[in-house]
Amino acid sequence: MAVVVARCNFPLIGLVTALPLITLVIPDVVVAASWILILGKQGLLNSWLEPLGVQLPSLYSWWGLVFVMTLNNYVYAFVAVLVGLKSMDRNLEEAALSLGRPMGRVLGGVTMPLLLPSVFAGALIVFTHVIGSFGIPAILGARTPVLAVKAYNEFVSEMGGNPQMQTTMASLLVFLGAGMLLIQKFVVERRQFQMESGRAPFPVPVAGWRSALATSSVVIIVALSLLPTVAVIITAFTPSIGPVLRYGGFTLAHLQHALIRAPEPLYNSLFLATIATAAGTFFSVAAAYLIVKRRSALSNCLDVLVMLPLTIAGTVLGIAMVNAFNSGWLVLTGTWVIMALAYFLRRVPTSVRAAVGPLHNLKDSIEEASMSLGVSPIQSFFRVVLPVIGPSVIAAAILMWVTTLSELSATIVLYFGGMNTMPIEIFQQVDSGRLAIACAYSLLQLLAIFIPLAVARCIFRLKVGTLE
Amino acid sequence: MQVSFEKIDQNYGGLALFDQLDLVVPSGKFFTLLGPSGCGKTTLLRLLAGFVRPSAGRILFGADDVTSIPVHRRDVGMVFQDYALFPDRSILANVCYGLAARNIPKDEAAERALAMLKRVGLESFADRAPASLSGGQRQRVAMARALVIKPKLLLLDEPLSALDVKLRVELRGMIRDLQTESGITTVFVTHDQEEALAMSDLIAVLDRGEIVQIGSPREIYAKPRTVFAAGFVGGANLIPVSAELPAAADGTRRLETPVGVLLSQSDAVLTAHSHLALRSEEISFSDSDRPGDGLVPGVIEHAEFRGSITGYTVRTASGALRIDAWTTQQKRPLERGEQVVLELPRSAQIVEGP
Repeated sequence: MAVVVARCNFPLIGLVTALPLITLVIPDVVVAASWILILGKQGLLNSWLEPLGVQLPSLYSWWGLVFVMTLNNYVYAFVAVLVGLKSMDRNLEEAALSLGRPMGRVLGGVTMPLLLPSVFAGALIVFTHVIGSFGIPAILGARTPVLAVKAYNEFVSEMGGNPQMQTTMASLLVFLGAGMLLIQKFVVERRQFQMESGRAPFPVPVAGWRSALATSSVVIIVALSLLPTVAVIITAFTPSIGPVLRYGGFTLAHLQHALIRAPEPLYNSLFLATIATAAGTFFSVAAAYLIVKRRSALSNCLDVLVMLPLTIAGTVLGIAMVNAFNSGWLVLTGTWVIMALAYFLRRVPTSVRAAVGPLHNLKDSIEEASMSLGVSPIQSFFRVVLPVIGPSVIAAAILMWVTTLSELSATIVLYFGGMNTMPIEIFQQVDSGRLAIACAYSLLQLLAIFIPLAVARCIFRLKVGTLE
Repeated sequence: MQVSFEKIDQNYGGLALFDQLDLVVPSGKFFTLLGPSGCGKTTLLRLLAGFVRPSAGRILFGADDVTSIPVHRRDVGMVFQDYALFPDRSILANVCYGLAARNIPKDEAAERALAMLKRVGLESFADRAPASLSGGQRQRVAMARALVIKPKLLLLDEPLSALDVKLRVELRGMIRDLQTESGITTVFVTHDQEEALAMSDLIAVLDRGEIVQIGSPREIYAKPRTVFAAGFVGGANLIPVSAELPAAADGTRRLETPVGVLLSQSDAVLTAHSHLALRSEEISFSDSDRPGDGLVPGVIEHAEFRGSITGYTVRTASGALRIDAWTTQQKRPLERGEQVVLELPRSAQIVEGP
């Protein structure tokens, strides 16, 4: 699909490149909840099809899990491949064409091998995401136990449960994650070709039936990705009696419940996300500066250390933190600090990477020029370096804020009474069958995410690439 | 202001780059550090700026020891190879940057910056962004930015090497003029011998952390002291000398070489590693067909017509010699494979080999 998008020019192309943003920021829980609405036992599709005598396979099965997870995560691979394609030198393909090969064989014989690292990288990102994902399997996977959920269940029953089992599963998760990262380092990086930074290939204009095919397939995929959101929005306004939904009606009761009667989850989420983002951004800029501009043994260590949380699934991180800060000189378990800290740790790798990129491009001489003109090193950083890397740091901060808002896997083990966050609330409402209220919260959550994102997109022209 | 290095040691990861290096840059001069990459010229410049601290030794600005003073309090202006303009500021804001750091009121700063921009011919670009300027224009802004603060010392780190040939020639004239007008002591780093010869008051030739020779451009060109200096500046022909023979009647020294007996008026002491250095334009084609002192037979190996000059490579008993001849002063162009006799002049310099 990425090949089609990068190389062809057809109607609605803009829609596809905006797609990653949309699907990335919709929280897992919301996606799972909405798919239940559509494909669940009393879901829309099933109730339509029932009179026709068609029985869809249960969503609460292995296949359902795979289906939803694929739809939810394909975007990561898509973005990775897209970036890879865009950075490829047009001359390579033209050289192959001029040697007398048809376009189809050029794509297969020249483009694909060069693209392999990007494809691998994308696949690995998806793998680490899926293996650590909690929200979707927790809601859908009643019959399909997944490591992350299993570890959580063991943890919840920990008071009388089996602590060994719990740590074993947590370790297994960590090993899997770390293993994947190592594979990426050794296999993918070795296969990386030094690409002369040439001009990106021209998009090929496509017309006629090809255009129609491309457009319709894009529309279908986008529609599939957006379907959950639409369902959520409709359901949030649908009256319900207990767990039974009556479509066609209209009510504000659920929103009222979420906004006025029990708005604490919203406040809690916003509060925690803001704290974690502020701390994370500050730390990321400082860490990135040390890593890029002040190379030393210590900053090399830092480089590796900040990437470490990437390998740890959220649930595992949560369990580890509960145990680490349960006793001793610093007791944080059961406070909001530990939640903010967990968010901070989970998002720091991404933010650091976002700040490292532009810092690499910033030449040392700019800072030196400032110093030679009589400005002290610290002031030079604020006056010269910060303005240049500012936009991408802000973009990363917003992304951090948004993803923190929808964090579930670590929160689920860390939260305590009175500190419910939005995803927790949604998770619990779905768990107890009150889909409408869950949808109302989901809607609020979506708004809380999209409004700042839209503002940021206008101001800073957030690009697809910066999401990586 | 005179600038001096005193007994500078510099180690990089256990490797000594400078060993007890001494160097004095006289006040108000345009001083060039010339050498190939890795010779330490940029490190010397960065020592002056304060980006690098010496392992031992002192750096003096006038009589003041500035060795431990950080960059931003040294009052130097610096121009970088990659321009280093602040990309998020306008041209005018770039030039004002150093003035603001010196707490000069905004109006006065803008006035001085504009005057400086006018001097480099860019006052109409004041509100533009650096990205919209060409390389040559950007480097002129960088010059203006460095000079407007009236620094005690101006440091130029290969400011021309990112530009194309035509711009380079144009800009080097401007840089030299700006330096002469302001009278600011200037240290210029380059690996381009032509630039060094064209711009400098004094040149220091560096080779692997050692200063091989200091002198005016003409001195360095006409009287190189070592094989390295002779080869790096102006690319001289080098012929090894094996022994000294009794001098000629007029006192000219006669030297035994693989191509026969050559003449030299140099008064340098002869050692086991001495060579004779001859510029390509000093050698001429002789009409004589009888052998004699300073006459060397050879075969034309390659001829290259370059317009005003025709360059020849002539194979002799001591390897290939390069000869540049004025095209108009030749009776006829010489062909590849032709037998010729070269006349090597008495101005040949005796230089020290490694």
